[in-house]
Order: sequence, then structure tokens, then C-alpha cells
Amino acid sequence: MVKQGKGEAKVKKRLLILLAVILIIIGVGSTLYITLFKGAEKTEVLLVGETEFSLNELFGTSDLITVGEYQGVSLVEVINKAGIENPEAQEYTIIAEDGYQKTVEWESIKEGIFTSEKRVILPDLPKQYWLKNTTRIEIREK
Amino acid sequence: MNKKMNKIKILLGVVIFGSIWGLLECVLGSYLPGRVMTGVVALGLMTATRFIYNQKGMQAGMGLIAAALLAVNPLGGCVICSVIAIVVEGAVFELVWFIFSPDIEKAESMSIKVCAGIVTAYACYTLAYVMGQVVTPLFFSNAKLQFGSLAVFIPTILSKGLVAGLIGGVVFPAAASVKQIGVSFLRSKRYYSMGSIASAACWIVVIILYR
Repeated sequence: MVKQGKGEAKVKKRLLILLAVILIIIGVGSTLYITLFKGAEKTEVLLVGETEFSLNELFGTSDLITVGEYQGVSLVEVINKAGIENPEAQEYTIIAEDGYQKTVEWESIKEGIFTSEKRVILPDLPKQYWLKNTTRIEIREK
Repeated sequence: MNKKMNKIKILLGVVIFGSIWGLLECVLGSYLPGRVMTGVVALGLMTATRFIYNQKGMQAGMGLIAAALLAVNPLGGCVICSVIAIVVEGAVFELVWFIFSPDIEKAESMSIKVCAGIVTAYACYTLAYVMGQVVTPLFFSNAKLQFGSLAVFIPTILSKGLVAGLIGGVVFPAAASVKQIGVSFLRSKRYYSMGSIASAACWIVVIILYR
């Protein structure tokens, strides 16, 4: 192993401390940004394409189905109620209130449900696609 | 100790601690958030073993073993994302130590240990998260990767990384302090037998839970 000089070691130690401080500042800054700007989107409605549903409206007029340990409204029913034509020809971007979003195809939507806790459950996809606090589903042609 | 013996001991160490890491991920992964798992379990085990064995590349190997164990585990939600995350955590740990070695290895002051913990845990968590998001869609034809959507989520990842980093700042010095205990275990006659039993036990527990 190449021995490093005392000067170089000192520089690396300072760099390590500086890097730790920078990362803490970035982390605190990001936390403040999320708290101040992204928390304001909390809503009790679900926007599907151009159609807005209140959660009461959605759960009051739909049959609940069970997927594993979760119960909710079928996403197919939600998409139908929103009047989307040719649903199999669209792709669906599910967006949470903190801006987190995932895009999936009709095959996954067909299996999925939307729970009263505003969570989208897509049993054929990993859990990173099961968005919490979902506020919107954007739809566009493939 | 001859070189051959050293290699066997190190390989067994990779299997023992990789299996323990995998078992903890399987059992606790569903209950604890990823940032806590990274800060406590991943960083704790990787740091402790690095100080005990002082062997480059060992932690990447441990990541592979833990990922293999996790791949047969049904308890976690997203097995593929967890497997990717663990492999990346092992690789990032090696990268950070490559850049700052031997300063971290010889770190005597508490401030350097705390900073090393913050940097390592923060880097492991955020990069593993991003790689998980990027690579996972490749395994699912119905899922799409959109870099734009990932960019929107970057502040959240960086914010969560802060928690992992702060935990790492506490865990790193604690893990570094077990060096003496670990070295005496490494030199004991029971190392091979106890190590093999512990590794096998981890795999058996996970396989039994699977069934």
C-alpha cells in the first residue's frame, strides 16, 4: 500500500469533516423544503385525468374489493368512472402528495385497488409502486 | 496465521456476517424504515467487520450474501428493491472507504468516526435508494422508469438520508469499539464451529419462515 504523507492525511480528514457537514446541510435543507412546500398539497380528493372525485363520493358509490390484507375500490372502476376511453392503450402515472410518482401500464391497473387511506395497491408490482397518500392519476396515450 | 488460513477465515467471516445481515433484513425489514436499517444494521455490521478483519472487499461480499438470503425471503415487501439496495450499500461502503482509507481505519478521534459514520450511512442510503428506483423497473414489464419522477422525489430521498446519516454518526463509533471483542473471537478455536453454526442457523430460520 502506498503510504500517504501527513499533509495528505490531514487534507483527507478535513475533507471528510467538510463532506459530513455538507451532507447534513443538504439533508436539513431538503427537510425544510419538503415541510414548507410539499406538505401543502394534502387533499381529500383524487384527481383522475380531468375528473375529480371526493373520497366520500368514491367510496360511497363503489363496491369494495379485497387484495391481500387491503380493501378498496377497484382502479378499473375508478378509471371507468373518469370516462377514460381505450384504457388499455393508456399509461398511468400515479402521483402522491409529496410528488413521488410511478408510471404503470393497464395490466397493473387492472389488478389494482385504491384504499380509503389513499393508498394504491398494485399486487403484480413491488411495494415501491404501492403509493401512499395518492392525490392524482395522470393518464396519457402510450 | 498463514495466508491460506487468513483467506478461509475471511471467507467464513463474509458468510457469517452476510447471513446475519440478511436475516436481520428479513425479520426487521418489514417493521423498520429503510433509513434505520441502513444506519443501524447495514452500517453497524459493515463497520464492525471492517475494523475486525481489516479486509478490503469483504463488505461488498457480505452485501451479496445478505442479498442472496433476502432473495429467498418472502417476508419483505419488495424483494428485488431490497436485494438491489443491499448490494449497492455494500459497494458504496467499499467506495467511501477506498476514498478515505486509511484515515477511517486509523481514525482515533471521535469527530472523525462520527463524520465517517454520517458520510457512509448517508451515501449508502441515498445511492441505494436511487439505484433501487432505477433498476427495479427493469424487472417488471408493466412498470416504467421515469427520471423526471425520480428527480421530483430527490429532496425526499435527501431528507430521509439525513436520518440515516445521523444514525450512522452514532452507530459508527459504537461499531468501531467492538474491534477488540471481534478480534478475540476471530482468534478463538471456536471461530469455525460457531461461525458455521450461526450462518447455517440464519439460512434455516429464513427457509423455515418461507415454508
